Amino acid sequence: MAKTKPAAGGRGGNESDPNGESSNFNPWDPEQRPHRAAQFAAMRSGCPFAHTEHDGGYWVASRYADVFELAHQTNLFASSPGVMIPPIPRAPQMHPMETDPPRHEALRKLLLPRFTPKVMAGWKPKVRGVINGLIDDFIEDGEAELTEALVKPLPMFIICTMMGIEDDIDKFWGWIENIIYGRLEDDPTAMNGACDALYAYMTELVAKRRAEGGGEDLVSLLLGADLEDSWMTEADMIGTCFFLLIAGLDNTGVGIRNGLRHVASDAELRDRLHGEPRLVATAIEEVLRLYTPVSGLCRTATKDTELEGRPVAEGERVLLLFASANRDETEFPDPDSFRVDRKINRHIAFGAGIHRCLGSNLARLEIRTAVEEVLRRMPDVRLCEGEDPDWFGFDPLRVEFTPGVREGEGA
Amino acid sequence: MKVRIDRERCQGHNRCVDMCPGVFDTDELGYAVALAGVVPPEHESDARDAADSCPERAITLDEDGG
Repeated sequence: MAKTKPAAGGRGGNESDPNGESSNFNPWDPEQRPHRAAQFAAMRSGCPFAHTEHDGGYWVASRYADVFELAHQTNLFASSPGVMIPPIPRAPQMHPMETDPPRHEALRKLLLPRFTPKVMAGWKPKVRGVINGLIDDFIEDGEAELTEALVKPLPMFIICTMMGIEDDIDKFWGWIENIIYGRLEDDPTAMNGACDALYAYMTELVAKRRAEGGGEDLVSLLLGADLEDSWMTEADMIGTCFFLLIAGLDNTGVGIRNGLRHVASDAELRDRLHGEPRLVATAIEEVLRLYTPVSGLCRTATKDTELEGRPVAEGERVLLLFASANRDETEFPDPDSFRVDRKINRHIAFGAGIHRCLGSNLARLEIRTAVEEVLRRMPDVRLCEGEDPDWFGFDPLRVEFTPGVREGEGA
Repeated sequence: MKVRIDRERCQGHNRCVDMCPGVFDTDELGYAVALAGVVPPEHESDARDAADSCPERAITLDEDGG
C-alpha cells in the first residue's frame, strides 16, 4: 500500500487554490481515492488548475476543455522530460509516449500499422481462445478471483506474443507491478531493482533480435526499420520495448478488470448485455470514461507561460487528469452515472492529440472480448457477497457464478 | 448529407469506423477515411453519432449536402 507523504507546502495555503480543496491533492493516496469523483468535481468548479505539493509539486488540469487543449500544445508542453508522476527514475525514456515532435512522428508511423482496427480484428480469434482457455481453468468451480485468473494473464499473453517474448511470460508481472506500483512506495528499492531487471532483459532481447533478424514481432519491426540515420540510439530502442511491454500489461489489464468489475456489480446491466451483445462495445466506452485506467499523465512547460493567469515556469509540470476530464459535466450529461446507452461519448481515456494511445484498439479488443466471453460462459456472474473492489490497480476481483463446463481441448 | 474528415485533426481514435463502418474506414496507419463523400441515407443517424463522438472533432457533416 502506498503511504501518504506529508504535503511540503501544507494544506490550503496556495493562492491559486482559494477553496483550499486541492493543495493536498494526490491521486495515488488510498485515503483520497474513494472520494475522487467529488474531489475532481470540486477542482473543476472551484480551481481548474490546482497546484499540489505532492511528488515535488505540480499543476493539475481537471476540466475536459483544458486537458484537451494542453494535450495538443506539444510545443509548449513537452512529453520528453517524462510523463509519469511520480516518475520512474531508473526507467529509460519510454518512446513514443515520452517523445516530442519532430522525432515522434517516424516512430509512431512505424508502429501504427500494427495496431489498426483491421489488424486487431485479425487477433480476435487468438484473444478469444486465450480467454476461453483461462476460463476453462475455473469454470467448474462456481467461483474465481478474476484478477489473477484472467485479468493479468490475458494481456500478458497477447503483448508477449506480439513482441515475440512469450517464452519468458512468467518473468514480467512481478517486474511491472514493482515498477508501476512501487513508484507509490517510500522505499524505491523494489522499483529500482525491477526497473534494472527489465532494462537488462530488454537490452539482451534487442541484441538477440539484432543477431537473428527478420522476425515478424514488434521488436524486429523496430530493429528492421530504416533508422540508420535516425535519432534512435540503442537505448532508445530498449526504451521503446520497455514501454510497449508496460503499456500492454498495466493499462490494458486495469481496463479489463474495470470492465469485468462493473458487469459483475450490476445485475441489470449484465443481463441486458447478455441479451444484447452488440451493446458491449458502447458499454465498454462508458467503462473507459467512468473508470479511466490511466487517470493522468503530465507534461512539462518548455518556457515560462501561464494557465488562466497563474504563472507557470519553464520546467514546471502539469498533470492532464483524464479521469476528471471524462467526468466533466460540460461535456457529459449526468457525468458520474454509468449509462449504457451513452452513444455520444467523446471520452479521452486514451488521451488526445499526437500521443493518443497507440494500443487503444488492442485494449478495446481485449476488454470487449473478455466481457463477451465471461457473459457467454458465466451469465449470472456477480461479485462475491460483501465484495466492493475499487477500480484502481489490481486488487482481487472475487466473483461467483453457476458452474459451467470446460470447452477446450481435453475438456 | 456530405461528410468530410480533417486529416490534420484525426489522430486515429477509430471511434467513427467502430460506430459507423458503412461510412468510415481507416488507412494503413489507422487514420480515418470516408468511404464516399456522400452519406447513404440509411447511415445518416450513425454518421451523426460518430461525428459527435470523435474526440478530435475531425468529422464535419453537411446536412444539406449530397
